[in-house]
Amino acid sequence: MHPRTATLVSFSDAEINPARSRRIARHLQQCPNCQAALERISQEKRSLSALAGAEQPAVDPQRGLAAVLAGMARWREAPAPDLRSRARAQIEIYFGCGAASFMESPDIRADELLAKTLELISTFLGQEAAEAVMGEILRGLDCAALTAEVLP
Amino acid sequence: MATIFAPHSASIVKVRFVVVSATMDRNQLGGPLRAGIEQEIRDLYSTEAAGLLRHAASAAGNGEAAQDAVQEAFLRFFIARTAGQEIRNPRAWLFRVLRNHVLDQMKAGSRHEIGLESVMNSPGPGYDPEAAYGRAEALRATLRTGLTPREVECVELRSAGLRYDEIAGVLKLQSGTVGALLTRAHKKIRAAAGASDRRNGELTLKVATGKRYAS
Amino acid sequence: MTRTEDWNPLESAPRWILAVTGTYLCLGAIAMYVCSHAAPAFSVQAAPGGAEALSVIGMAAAQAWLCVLALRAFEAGAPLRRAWLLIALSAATHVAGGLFSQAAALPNSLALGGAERIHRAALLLSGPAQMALLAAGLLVALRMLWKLGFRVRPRATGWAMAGILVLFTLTRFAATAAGQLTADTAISLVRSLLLCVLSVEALFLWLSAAGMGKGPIAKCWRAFAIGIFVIGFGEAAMWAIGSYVPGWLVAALEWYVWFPAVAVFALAPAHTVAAVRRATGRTSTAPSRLPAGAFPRTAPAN
Repeated sequence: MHPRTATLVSFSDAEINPARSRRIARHLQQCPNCQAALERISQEKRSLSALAGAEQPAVDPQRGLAAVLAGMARWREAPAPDLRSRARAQIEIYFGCGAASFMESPDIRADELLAKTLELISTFLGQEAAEAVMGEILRGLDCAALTAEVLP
Repeated sequence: MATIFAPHSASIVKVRFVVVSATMDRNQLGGPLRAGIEQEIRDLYSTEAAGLLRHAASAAGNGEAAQDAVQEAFLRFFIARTAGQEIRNPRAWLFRVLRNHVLDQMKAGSRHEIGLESVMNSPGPGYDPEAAYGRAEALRATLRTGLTPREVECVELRSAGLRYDEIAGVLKLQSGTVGALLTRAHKKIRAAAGASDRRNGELTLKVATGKRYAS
Repeated sequence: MTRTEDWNPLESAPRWILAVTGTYLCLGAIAMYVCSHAAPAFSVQAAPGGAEALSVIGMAAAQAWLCVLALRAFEAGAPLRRAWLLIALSAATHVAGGLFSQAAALPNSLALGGAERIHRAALLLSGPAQMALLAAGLLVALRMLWKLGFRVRPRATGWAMAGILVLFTLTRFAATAAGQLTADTAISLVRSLLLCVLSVEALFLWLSAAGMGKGPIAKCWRAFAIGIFVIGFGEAAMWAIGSYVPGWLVAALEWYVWFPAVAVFALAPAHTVAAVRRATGRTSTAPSRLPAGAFPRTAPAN
């Protein structure tokens, strides 16, 4: 029984469970047709990769890293009022206004408030919920602009 | 007892919480933890930035916008990590956040330079960024081999080294669907290569005009 | 947002429980009005020979199921996972105890042999075992609330109430211990001690959660406190009535104390499950509303 194209594609991507993968490997040793099919799939993969990478962006990745690092350096001091209000809103949704007022003490920094929010949600609703809440807080937020806020 | 406590509850609500526990040290972010995250980001940038840039450029159609989107994804990664979020699969996380960010930018409309002016009409009330994303992709994809936008995205993410379950996470699909989409992409490129082989004897990609594939 | 589009029954679990409880209580009121002797109004409410009502067992089963759903939101080793596991086990022992009590009350249970033993096992399971597990689970949750800063020192009234509670338990303990100590009275003593511990925990839980506000997490832990207060009220009522317990009163307690208590316990995990669904369900592919002020985009740094 020859493996189907879909199976061979998954096999070449190492996305098949080990037992089935061993069976296919054994079959391939004996079947020149399937070997040829697998070779063709490898070629196609190279073509597809070339196709996917056809649009190489004309930008310098190192400049991007420098911008990210600069943003990171400024992040801690960013007042980020928008981020604060978003974090507060999430605590209000899941805990209530009292908890939000308690958490957002005037001297707490935005990054600390965010960390506290995440800690609360992950403790009481689990990691996945915390991740989703973090996504919700950051959604649509312009972090580059946020970290640029502290610039004189 | 419930009745005893009920009238008391009003006064309890006013009670202030007495202790703010120091579970999060104020200086924690300035210390070795932060240095560790910074190194993590440098490493990730060196391995993932190229793939992310390609993916963003493919979606946004413009190098500068792609650069901005990738920076944004890395900054978000940094913010999430310093806030204490554990990210088990940083690569898949970055791709997902990048894609959502590009979609968000598209939703924000033509005010923002995202390089889709050629394919996007001015967004009306029924404007759907997924469809715009799809149209931009579809335009390029049709110019290539007749792959659908979903197939192109799968191929791109797979080329960037993502596993099927990671791709499924980014595109919000079942991982079985990812395998099926990739197989279809293989079949289409095979058909295209076969056609061009017959004509030229070498692998050049045929423009599949007038041919639509359901996504 | 998306919630109205793809309706999720688990997200509305708290509303379901409240609706069922409300209907149940209304039915109880009607039944009591219609029958002058309200004892076993419906078969589901019939509690032969001190057996736990099927409705209470059913709600405890719902509680156990919701607790399992809640604990699945947490990673292995997370403190709240441990708490929900203990609470789920407590609900499961309640169910097991209830089923045992039903079995003991069967007409042919004597023929099966050991009706007395089954009855005792039922008492043990739905009494001390359930309470001990619940107390352990709530203690873990309480410690996490305190650790995260939601710690409220009770005021004088709070301390006074806790004192009265302890005194009440000690009096009851002394009164029971003075008599002949049988297995049943021993179980009852342990039960009252555990109820005292639970009530003190409930007091602290209430204090911590009341100040939080009206979010689902606050509601969840407040629900446990309320449930324990209701049980405490029921126990106190039973004790005050003494040995004379007319049938209608047992039915009334079933309707208005034990069932609401277990319904409130089921409400607690339902709130957590709903909150988790709400949080994780948000990450739809299409971007949700964009808050004002997030844009316009500025030039990239550097």
